[in-house]
Amino acid sequence: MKNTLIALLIAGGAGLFTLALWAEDREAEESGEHLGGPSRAETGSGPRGAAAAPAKGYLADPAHALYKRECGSCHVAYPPTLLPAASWERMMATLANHFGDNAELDVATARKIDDYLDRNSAGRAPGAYSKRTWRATRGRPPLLRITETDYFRGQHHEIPAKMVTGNPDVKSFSRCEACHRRADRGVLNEHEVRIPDYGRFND
Amino acid sequence: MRSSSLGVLVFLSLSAMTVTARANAVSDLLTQYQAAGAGPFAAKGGSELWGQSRPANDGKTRSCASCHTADLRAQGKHVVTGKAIDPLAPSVNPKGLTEGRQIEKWLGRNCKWTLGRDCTPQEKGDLLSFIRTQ
Repeated sequence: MKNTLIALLIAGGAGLFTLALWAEDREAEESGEHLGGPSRAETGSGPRGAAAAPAKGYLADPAHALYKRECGSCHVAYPPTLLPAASWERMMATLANHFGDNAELDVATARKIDDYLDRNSAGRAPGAYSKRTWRATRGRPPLLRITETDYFRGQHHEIPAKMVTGNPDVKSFSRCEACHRRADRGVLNEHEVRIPDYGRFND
Repeated sequence: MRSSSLGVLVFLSLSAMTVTARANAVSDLLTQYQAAGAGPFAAKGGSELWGQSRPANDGKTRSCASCHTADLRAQGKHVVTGKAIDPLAPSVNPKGLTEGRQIEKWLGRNCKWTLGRDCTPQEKGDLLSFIRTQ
């Protein structure tokens, strides 16, 4: 009897926790927060039409243009909210060997980008997505690859390799923009996913 | 008719502007290297440095051509990351060599990556003299 009660309590607790996570997802989806991207009402589907969306979150940061120019010229300007501050710190400290290439910056530029990444990182940027990505990396050694975070894996584990690594038009999970066409605007929701040669992905 | 000739005019002046920007960016850097005691610069020296290779710690040899290919007018591909690299030759890539800060940044990164050390002002001047003729 006592054991049943404890089991019920645990199950109830887990249920509430899941419900809380779900509610937070919904909240983020409905507010169109998308890691700081423009809200859904501002992206052309609303009555205001195709007016340019005002930048929000990290996109509105005064150092975003610099980040996009320096980092986004070689690869998509990854939304800084996808990794915690400790990861970005390690990234910036190892630019001499940045995934096999030298990506060093002059000291003044590096400092500005350092600060930008720090204040827009998972857990430090405001909002539900920031909380979620931070929670998924909390208590772990700071990863450098977004694709290795539990958060990323949880979202992408059902996607067959042939659609990504085996797909010459995608090649790698690190090329967010191949399927998330507005990844550079922080829009990573699954409704907008279009996998080259495959189209929408319905899980 | 009028709008098309206007278009040609705009195109020509834009091309002239990139040519001027390149001349300025490169000559400003050459002046800078000269101030550091280097010069005169020769395309031949740059071409030789371009062809030089050295063993890297991944067991392979590295040279400029490893990523940029032997033909500067061709599209390159980073030998480790696979990143596509625009041709360096200004004759096919008009945006090349137009911004001093970018040139210095990439010379800094790529000399270290390829040769394992910084290039001297003399080497940088020779390299630019070589690349600008391609």
